[in-house]
Amino acid sequence: MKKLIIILMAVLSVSFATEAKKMSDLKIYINPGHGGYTSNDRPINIYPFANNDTLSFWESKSNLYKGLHMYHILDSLGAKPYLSRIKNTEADDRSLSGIAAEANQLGVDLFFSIHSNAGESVNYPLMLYRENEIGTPRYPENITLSKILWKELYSNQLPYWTRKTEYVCGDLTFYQNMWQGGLGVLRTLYTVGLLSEGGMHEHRPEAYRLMNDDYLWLEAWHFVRAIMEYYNTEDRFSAGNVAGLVYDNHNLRELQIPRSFTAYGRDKLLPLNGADIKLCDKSGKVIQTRTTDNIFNGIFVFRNVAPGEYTVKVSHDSYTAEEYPVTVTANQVSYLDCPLDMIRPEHLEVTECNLNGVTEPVSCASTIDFTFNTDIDEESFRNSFTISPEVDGYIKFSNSYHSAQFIPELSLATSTEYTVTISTGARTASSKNQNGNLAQPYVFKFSTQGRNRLELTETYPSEGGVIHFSSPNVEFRFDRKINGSNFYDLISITDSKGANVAFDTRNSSFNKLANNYGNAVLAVRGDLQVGETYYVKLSGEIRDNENLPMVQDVNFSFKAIDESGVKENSDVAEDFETAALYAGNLDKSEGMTAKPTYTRSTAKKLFGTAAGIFTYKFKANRGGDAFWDYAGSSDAQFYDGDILGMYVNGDFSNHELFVVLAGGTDEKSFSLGKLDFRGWRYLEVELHELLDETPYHIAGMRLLQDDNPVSQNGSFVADNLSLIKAGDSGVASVADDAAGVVVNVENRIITADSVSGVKAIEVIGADGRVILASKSNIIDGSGLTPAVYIIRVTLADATTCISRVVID
Amino acid sequence: MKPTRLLLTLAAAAISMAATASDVEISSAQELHIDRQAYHPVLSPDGSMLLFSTTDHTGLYSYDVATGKTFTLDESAAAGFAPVFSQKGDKVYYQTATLVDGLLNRDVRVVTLRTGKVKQLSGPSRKNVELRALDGETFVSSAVYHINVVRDGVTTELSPVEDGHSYLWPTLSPDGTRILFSEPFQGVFVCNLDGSGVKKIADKGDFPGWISNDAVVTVSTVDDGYNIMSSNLILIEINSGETSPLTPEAVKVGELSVCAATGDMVYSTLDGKLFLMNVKINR
Repeated sequence: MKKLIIILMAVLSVSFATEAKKMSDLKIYINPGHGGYTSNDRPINIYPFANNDTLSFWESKSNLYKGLHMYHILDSLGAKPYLSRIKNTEADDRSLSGIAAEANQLGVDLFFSIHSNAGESVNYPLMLYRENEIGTPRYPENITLSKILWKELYSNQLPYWTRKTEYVCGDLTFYQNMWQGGLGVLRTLYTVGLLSEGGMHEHRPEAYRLMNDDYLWLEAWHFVRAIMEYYNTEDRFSAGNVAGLVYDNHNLRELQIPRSFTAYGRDKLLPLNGADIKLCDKSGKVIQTRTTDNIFNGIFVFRNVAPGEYTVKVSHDSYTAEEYPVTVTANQVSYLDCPLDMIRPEHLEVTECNLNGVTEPVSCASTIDFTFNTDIDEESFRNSFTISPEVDGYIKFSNSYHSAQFIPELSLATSTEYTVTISTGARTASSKNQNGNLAQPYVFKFSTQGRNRLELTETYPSEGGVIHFSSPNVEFRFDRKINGSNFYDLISITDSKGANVAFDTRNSSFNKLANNYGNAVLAVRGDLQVGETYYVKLSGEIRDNENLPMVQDVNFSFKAIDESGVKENSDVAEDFETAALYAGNLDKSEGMTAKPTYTRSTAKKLFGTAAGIFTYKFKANRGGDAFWDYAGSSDAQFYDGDILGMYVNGDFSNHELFVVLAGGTDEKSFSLGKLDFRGWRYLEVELHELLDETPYHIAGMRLLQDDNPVSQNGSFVADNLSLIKAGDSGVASVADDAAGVVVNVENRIITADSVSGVKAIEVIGADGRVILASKSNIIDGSGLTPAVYIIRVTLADATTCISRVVID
Repeated sequence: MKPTRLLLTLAAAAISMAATASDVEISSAQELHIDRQAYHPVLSPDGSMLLFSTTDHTGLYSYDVATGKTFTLDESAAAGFAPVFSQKGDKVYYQTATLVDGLLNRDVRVVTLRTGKVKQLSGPSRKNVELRALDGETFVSSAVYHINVVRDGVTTELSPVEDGHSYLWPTLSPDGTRILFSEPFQGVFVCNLDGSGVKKIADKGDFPGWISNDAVVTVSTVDDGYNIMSSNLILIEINSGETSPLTPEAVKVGELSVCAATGDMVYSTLDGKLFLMNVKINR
């Protein structure tokens, strides 16, 4: 016969009372989080341990030790604790569901999961409790207990807590944007449960502390005291504890720990390894002793001390010993702060200075760097350091005050002899020896070189200039290579509404010019808005690779335009759609390191599906002439008086671009102008001096190197070479009528005026070369030989107009 | 070794199985449409009735597999934790939890499924209570730190795994000769009723259940210490040790219940859905 029986197991026969409880009433399940030594077990790389060394910090390990301490404390008080694990192996990485099921099966009053949290620059406790749904705790008691525990952990004065306000949160609320279901270990619990994130183990001082057994014990002690308060138990701790930190009162943690991480308060100072601490009663009898660990904690905790008056004696071989009175109270922790004074040399000495004894003039960007035989008192050094002539600057200490650096605000003056003095007022940082001064004044001289400013030499666009709107690059040029590391912080381009233009840092570059010139080519992310005015701000803090600053801020504006409009009456003579249209001709070139090249590009086209990239490498700073033969099939015929136009994406090289035409055996080059721009621009030239009634065809492309040494290598892109027949030209009418350009020659001074504003003026000779150029509306033609010249006027909106003038 | 043939009937996912000693037919997972989130499934001995609860075991609900009807049996806290069917399957024994002055107390209740009538068998208590359904033959249960084996009214405590910490989810094989259980640190095991013949069949596994005398199903989970990252059903053939996944990687399985009599299994997902699958092992 089938039946069901119920067996009452006397596993735990407790006499339950609704009044104050005893610790022995409680069943508590302790879950030290994680388990083993894999990436899920939260290792932290800290000096002096190797990466993933099991002796280093692992959250799985510190959680376990806290749990074991908690177990023993609870057990000693008569409570019934259970542990989800007692070792730290991979096998101990139990399933979260299994842990919760075990706690449910045991019918515990409280489930206590022990963890620490991630976060390098912060450190605070966080209590997470189980919620039924976001905002609703599984039990209201969860919140009560979490608040008590947060208060307990926050009362621990050994760590530095960066957050001063309570942080208690439901798991579903906390993780709602990360995981479904909240904390796996709390998910299926039906009893009161929480997960304690005791601190931030990525915060390196806390990671070190979490390897100290006294510190772990103290956290476990706080766990238990929180449980006592929550359950309002009759029994509390009858003894107290004394906890403290022993550390150097001046030297920094960096003196012995090479890796630098965020630290606050006392955590900045050097904790002392190997300090001896004795707890003595009134009679002087030593009750307990501790030696601080060798992993930079300086922590000691005297556990379970009978209430009363005591003296704590702290000593270390390299420090002056100290004694501290302390009162121990039952159920409390008495905290001690134990800063010790290092035993230092009798006198301060400057052991090294970078400019002392240097006879050659030094860079005006130089700092003055001192190293001392011990840590220096900062205030005394500031008061005793002088430099003459006076320089605005500040002093920075490093290497735990064993080094000091005078840093000029901007730079030193050029070609100046300086005298540096540290008077005998400078002394060691000893608080016990106030006479540890320099024995003699420290004096030396040095002199500086003749340059102390970074110069901004050229920009594209320039003030009032224009740039094609589509994915443009802007460029800034300097007289020296610049420090590009923080350049993006020192420049801004904003539109008229103040919105920032973003840069594509992957496609931007720095210092690609020759001869130690510096530049920044910044790729704009996306397009600019056609017609919009943009404002550039360059900070005077931009510095060169010597650290010399630009000093003055530079502000200017430019305008975004669309250069892709098709010119009136133009016919496309070559659309650059097919491959191998041009071929570099080394015989016709001069001063090249290699044959110029030509490639078809679908990425940089302006029209159709492709454009042509012309690439060159000049051998020297001047005298180069790159030539490409035309190998295409255009049958366009150019006659005298026609206008040849072409869209060019410039490289801001200032080299001059020519189109070569051939008629019969006659070959002529016509200048389209200098490549003094970036992005697309329409260039054109009126053809002249062609043989009468002789058709000319496209024969090649030339690039004549500018006598500007900033660029030897580069490339430009061409698209849609067009023909505007003589008489069909829209340019003449634009020049004369729409734009209202008036060109005058008086005493060989050529001026151009337009209601649109004139940006540049060029004088072009019969061979198509630009003979004179000016970035104003006036140019001096006194050096010109008598002849007919083409005057090309560039207006403010970047349109160009052409006029002929006769120079007598 | 004999050649293997795996029949996937209505297989929703590409489930592959290496050489095994049996033909295995696996049905695709069918969602049981329930008007609420459902977790912790427990199938009746004949597979006709299903119990389920909420995430944290609050409430006990029944689901008639044939009709798809859902009934609320008890809405109390912990009512859905490890309920036990009577051998006839007509009643369910369970406990509920209350906090009295902060301390956990549990009572014992029985509900008659046909009427929904709930009767309290013992009042709230701090004592641990173990529910066992006995038919005069054999029953196994977990006392956490050992397994209780009851045969003919005689209880034997078993700790079959050397250095074993705890014993979770012990169940009796369909032929009543072996016990399947999970030792959370060492894996999933089977052993004889006297604790002999211990055989490890998986490194880890939750909610293991017999699908036949030679094969079991368990939930294999991977977590990061905070949250379950993946969780899948795994079929294990005891003799060969061959394992096969039964659910796609994307599915996150919560809990599992298996009915060896029918080959049915019901699993919950972490987002509160229940799915029914059937596995037939043909010798």
